[in-house]
Amino acid sequence: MTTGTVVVQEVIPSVLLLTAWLMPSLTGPTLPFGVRTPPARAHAPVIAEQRRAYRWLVGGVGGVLVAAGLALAFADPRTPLAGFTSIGVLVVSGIGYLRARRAILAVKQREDWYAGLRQAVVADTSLRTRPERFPWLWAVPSLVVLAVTAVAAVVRYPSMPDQLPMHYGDSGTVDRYAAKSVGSAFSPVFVQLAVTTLLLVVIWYAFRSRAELDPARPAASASQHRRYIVRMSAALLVLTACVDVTVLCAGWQIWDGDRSLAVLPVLAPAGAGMVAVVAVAIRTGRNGSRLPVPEGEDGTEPARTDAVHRDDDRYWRFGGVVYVNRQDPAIFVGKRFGIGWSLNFGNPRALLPIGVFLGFLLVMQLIGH
Amino acid sequence: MILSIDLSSDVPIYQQIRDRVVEAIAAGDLAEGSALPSTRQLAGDLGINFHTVNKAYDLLRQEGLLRLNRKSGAVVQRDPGSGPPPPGFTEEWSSRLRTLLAEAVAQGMDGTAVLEACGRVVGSFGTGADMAPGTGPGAGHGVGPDVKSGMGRGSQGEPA
Repeated sequence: MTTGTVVVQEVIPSVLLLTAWLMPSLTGPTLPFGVRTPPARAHAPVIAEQRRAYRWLVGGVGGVLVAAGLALAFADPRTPLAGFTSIGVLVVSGIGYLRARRAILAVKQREDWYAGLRQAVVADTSLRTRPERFPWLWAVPSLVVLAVTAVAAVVRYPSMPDQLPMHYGDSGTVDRYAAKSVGSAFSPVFVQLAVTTLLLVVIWYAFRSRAELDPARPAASASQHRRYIVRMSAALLVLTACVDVTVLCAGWQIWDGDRSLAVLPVLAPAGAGMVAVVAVAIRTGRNGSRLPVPEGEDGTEPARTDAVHRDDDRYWRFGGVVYVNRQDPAIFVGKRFGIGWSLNFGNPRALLPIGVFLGFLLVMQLIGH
Repeated sequence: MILSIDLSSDVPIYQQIRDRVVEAIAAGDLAEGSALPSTRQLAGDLGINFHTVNKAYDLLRQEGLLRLNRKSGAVVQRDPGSGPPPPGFTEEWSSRLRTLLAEAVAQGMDGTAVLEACGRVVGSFGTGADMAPGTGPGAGHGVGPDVKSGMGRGSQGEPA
C-alpha cells in the first residue's frame, strides 16, 4: 500500500471521529443524547456536564486511537488497521453516548421534567397538500455515471482478459476469478443498478417522512423542514453518484484484469460523498434547525410557548436508537442521535424497505459468486 | 393549516382534529376546495393511529364540511362563503351553544362579558376573508381565548 492509501484509510475513522464529536451539537438542544427534554430544561446542569464528559471521552480516547492508527500505518503499511480504528472510534462514542444518556435520563426521571407541561404534536397539512418537489435533477449525475459505466463495459468488452477478477481479499489482491461473460463483465453495472435503485427508494421514502415540528414555532420549523429535506436528499443523491463512481473505478481495474486493487481511486469518491453528506448535515442541523427562518415567517407565529413536543422516549428502545411504535403509521422517522432516518420497527410496512435491503444483499452475494 | 394536538388534554384526539379543522375553515385558513392530507399521511405526521384520523374525517364528512374520496383524499366541501347552513343545523347548534353559554353564566360571568367574548371570537374569524392565521388556541372549546385584535370590529358582534 502507498502513503496515499494510508491517508485515505485514515480519513474514514477521522471523519467518524469528527462527526461523533460534533454530534451533541448537531442534534439540537431538546434531544441531548436521544433524551427528549422540554425546552425549559435545555440548560439543565446535567446536560452541559454530560456533553462535556462525552466530548472529553470521544475527543481524548478517539483522538489517541486515530493518531495511533495513523502512526502504526506509516510505520508498517502492511497492517490493515483502518477497520480497527473505525470500530474503536464507534465503540468509544457508543460508550460515551450511553453513559451521558443514562445520566440525563436519571435526572429527568428524578425531577419529573414533564410534570405540569402540555405535551403536543403538530402537523402542517400544507407539507402534504403542497409538498416540496423531489430534487430529481440531483439524481442525474448517478444516472450519467451508470450510463457511462454501461457504455464503457460494452466498448471494452472485446479487449477484456478471459479471466476477470471477481473478488479481492483483505490485502487487496485477487482471490477469485470468473470466466469472461456478460454476467461477469457487466457486474459493476449490475452493482451500480442495485445500489442506485436501493438508495433512490430510501431517499424517496425519507423525503416524504414526517416533519417533526416544534409546537412553540410550527410555521418556522415547517419552513426549515422544507429546505432541510431538499438539501439532505440532494446530498444523498450526490453520495449515490459518488458510490457509483467508486464502483466504476473498481470495475475499470476488473476489466484491466488487475491482480491487485488500487484502493485510493476506489475509496476516494465514496469517501468524498460521505464528507459531503456530513458537511450538509452539519450546515443544516437536525430538521434544518440551523437554517435561518425567512423574515416574517417567525413573526406571525401564534404564541404557544406553553405547549412542548411530546415526550416520546418510551418508543425509542435499545439505548434510544430503535424506534418501535405500533400506533404510528410512519415508516421512516428522523434519527434522534445521528444523521438521517431510521425505520419504525413497530410498523409492518417498514418490513418492505428491510426486505428490499436484504434482497439487495442477496443479489450482491449472487453477483459475487 | 397548522394542526396542533394537545396530548395532555381530556378532549379526545379525533375531536381535537375535527375542532381544529372547523376553526381553520371559519378563519379562512381552509377554503372550499382546499385539500387535506390522506388519513394515513396525517396520522403519520402526528404519530397517531390512523383510525383516529379516520374518525375525525368521518365526523367532518357527516357535517358536510369534508368530502372524502378514495383518489383525491380529503377535500374541504364548504366555507363561510358557500351559502347558508344546511337545514336543521342552526337548531342543533343553538342547543350546544346554550350549554356553552350556560357554563359561563353559571360560573358567574355577566351577560355583557359573555357577549363581548362571543364578539371577539366571531371577530377573530373575520367575515370569511383575510385574518391573522392561527386563531383559537385549543383551550377546550375556546370561549374567549386571548385574541389580540379584540375590539377591532364591533365589540357587540352578531350575538346568537
